[in-house]
Amino acid sequence: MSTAHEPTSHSPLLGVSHAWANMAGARWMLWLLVAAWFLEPALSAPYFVGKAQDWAYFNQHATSAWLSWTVYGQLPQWEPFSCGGLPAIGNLQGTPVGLTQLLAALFGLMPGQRIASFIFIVLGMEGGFRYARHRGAHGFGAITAGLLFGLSGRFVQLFHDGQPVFLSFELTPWALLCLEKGWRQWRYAVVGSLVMALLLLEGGAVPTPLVSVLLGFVALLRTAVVVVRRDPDDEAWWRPVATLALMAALTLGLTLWRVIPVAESLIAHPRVWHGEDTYSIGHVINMVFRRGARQGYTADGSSLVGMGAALLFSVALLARDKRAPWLLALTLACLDLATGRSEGIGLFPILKSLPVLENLRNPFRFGIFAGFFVAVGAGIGISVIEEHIVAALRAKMAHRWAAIVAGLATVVIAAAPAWQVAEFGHDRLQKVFIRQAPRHVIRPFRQSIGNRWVADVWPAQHRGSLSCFEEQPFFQAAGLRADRPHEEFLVDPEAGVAERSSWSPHRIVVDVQLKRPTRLLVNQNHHRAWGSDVGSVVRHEGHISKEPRIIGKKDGKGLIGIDLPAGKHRIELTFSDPWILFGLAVALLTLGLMAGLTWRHRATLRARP
Amino acid sequence: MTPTPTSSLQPAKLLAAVALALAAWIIGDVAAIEPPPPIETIGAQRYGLTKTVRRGLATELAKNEPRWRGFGKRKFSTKPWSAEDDYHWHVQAHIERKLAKRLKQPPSHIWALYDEIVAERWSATGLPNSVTHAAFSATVVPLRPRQR
Repeated sequence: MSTAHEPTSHSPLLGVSHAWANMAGARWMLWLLVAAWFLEPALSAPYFVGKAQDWAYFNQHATSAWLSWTVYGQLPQWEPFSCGGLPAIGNLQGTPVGLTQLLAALFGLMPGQRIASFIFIVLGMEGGFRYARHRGAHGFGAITAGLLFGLSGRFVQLFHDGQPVFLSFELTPWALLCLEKGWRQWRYAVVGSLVMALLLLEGGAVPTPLVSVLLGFVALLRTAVVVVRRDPDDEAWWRPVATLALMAALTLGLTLWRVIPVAESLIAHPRVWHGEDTYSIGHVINMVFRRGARQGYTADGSSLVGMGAALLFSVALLARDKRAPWLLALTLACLDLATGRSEGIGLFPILKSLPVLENLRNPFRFGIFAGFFVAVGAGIGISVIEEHIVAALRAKMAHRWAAIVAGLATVVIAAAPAWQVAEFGHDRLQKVFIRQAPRHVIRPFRQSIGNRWVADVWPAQHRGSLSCFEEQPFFQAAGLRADRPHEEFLVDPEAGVAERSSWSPHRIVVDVQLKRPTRLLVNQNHHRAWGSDVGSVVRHEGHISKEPRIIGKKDGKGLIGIDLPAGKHRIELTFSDPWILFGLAVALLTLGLMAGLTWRHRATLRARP
Repeated sequence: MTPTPTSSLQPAKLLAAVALALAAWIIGDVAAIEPPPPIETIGAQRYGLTKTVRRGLATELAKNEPRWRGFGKRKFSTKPWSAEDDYHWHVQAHIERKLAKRLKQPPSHIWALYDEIVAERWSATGLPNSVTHAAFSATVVPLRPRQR
């Protein structure tokens, strides 16, 4: 049931539809124009954000990373602007690297983020189109699938919730396409690993596990189909899982420099979630199919692809089209996962029982995938209708006119559901961007008491916010203070003087003149990756002279300390994580391996007679 | 109806070029939007506020601090981080919803002043003062995020 249907030979009467599908330039223009119209409220006001708390949270991380990249020219390994200092690449929730950061570096922090959103929406539509074509939809059907998925309700809801970092969900069809094509040609697994790496490096905390689960499920389902069906035209039964394994291995190789620090921080500061989120199947169906007036994480329409899409999908099912059952199976599985319940098929509790996935939450997000398969199913439904129109017209008019009439009729049928979804999302986006993004000032860094509810204000003002929120209980030194006259100071002020010479997130230079050995302290959390060219870096555990005692007797506990000998020194304190450097080396090797495999594959093709 | 490779070659390239130009135009248009001016952080009129107004705001925030902290302590009596987080929520609500509107200043300006107030530990009189008379805590309760 699940063989892909590459549309290679069709009736010439489907020519209008196919001409559209084959003209990449025309299709891309459509995506660009639609995305520009759809995101107009976001694109025309890049210096305004939404009011949801996560806007401030994610913008804080983005700003910190942007400062590292563009102001200081440093890879953002460490984030001094939050909680007294956090791992940046090692924070699963952070966005220090990825397409968005690249665009922010090129076009400015806020415009860059909006341009990234725009590109992800375009990629989502093209990905939806390509997957629908792969599954056998004709041109107009595939275009409708692309529109329905790329503009679907969840992507609009992400803007409401302040989570456009999760727009990398738009890459889902690309990952799936590469997996499914990889069953027959290994090179697609190579491309798929690039897609997954991009997804992981972007807003990895949520899309990566969910898309990985989807890919795993699809590979297992396909294996089952191949084993049960025993069709000689099918690939070997082990190919789906082997393709997935190759994709996973290459993705890991490409992203090890992020995965190792993230794993380290998750082990040291586990992200624990005991909450149980469950929704009735009716609730999930309303999220995917019903246009609701209210906003909210799980409100009606929050994953909208619409009733029109459902109707078109049901046309394909009622016509017993052989392209539909695979999509139906995946839709039902994703709807079940989105409920988070043990009733029904009960897949989500099974997922939660697996290692690593035990802290998975917000199952409603599987509604994105349910919506995607319905969108592709709608594309198949449109193709079925188109085929029937062509069959009916063939006997009644000249081929050319029949093709044009069939094309026009299909466009009319396809436009209604796509317009429903696009208009719904466009209207919702009008009310999002009402809070001014923080204004910037570059000045000497120091810690501030800050305020996590407006977390993005502080890095923009070159201040660290001690008041902070993270999903992981990251370490915060008890000795952090927002009122120190100097951020770098001696534990024994009588021992000499210390003066900052220069500061950047990963390199602090301090001039010290000491009468006797003492310890220099930095008003940031200690981390093993801090090193110094003079003396040795330690985690300060003692009291700080002449400071009021706050918590217990070890007020300075956890700050960065450097034990220094007497004398005059210029100390260069640097943050450099050897695991990140190791991971980057592995990524380069993996890229080299992938390039070599691709080159060899092309050479083999050329050598064939 | 299906275009042959030779007949579709030039239009396809032309369309692709137009699509690229369109993408460049849209992206360029967004990138060209000017950011708001940076915050003025030095001088007598820093943050767009006179010295008198700055003192008045320090006094206002300092006077409210015990009350706002009290809300959090009552609401989250066994969770120090959550209690303090609740206090910060009240500070945020006051600055973003009331002060910024009343003073007709961007919230960023008020936050810059708030940072200065805490760093210098202005007292409830609105003047930079010694530690003994200072309002505003300069430390935080270490992070303890929710688990459900």
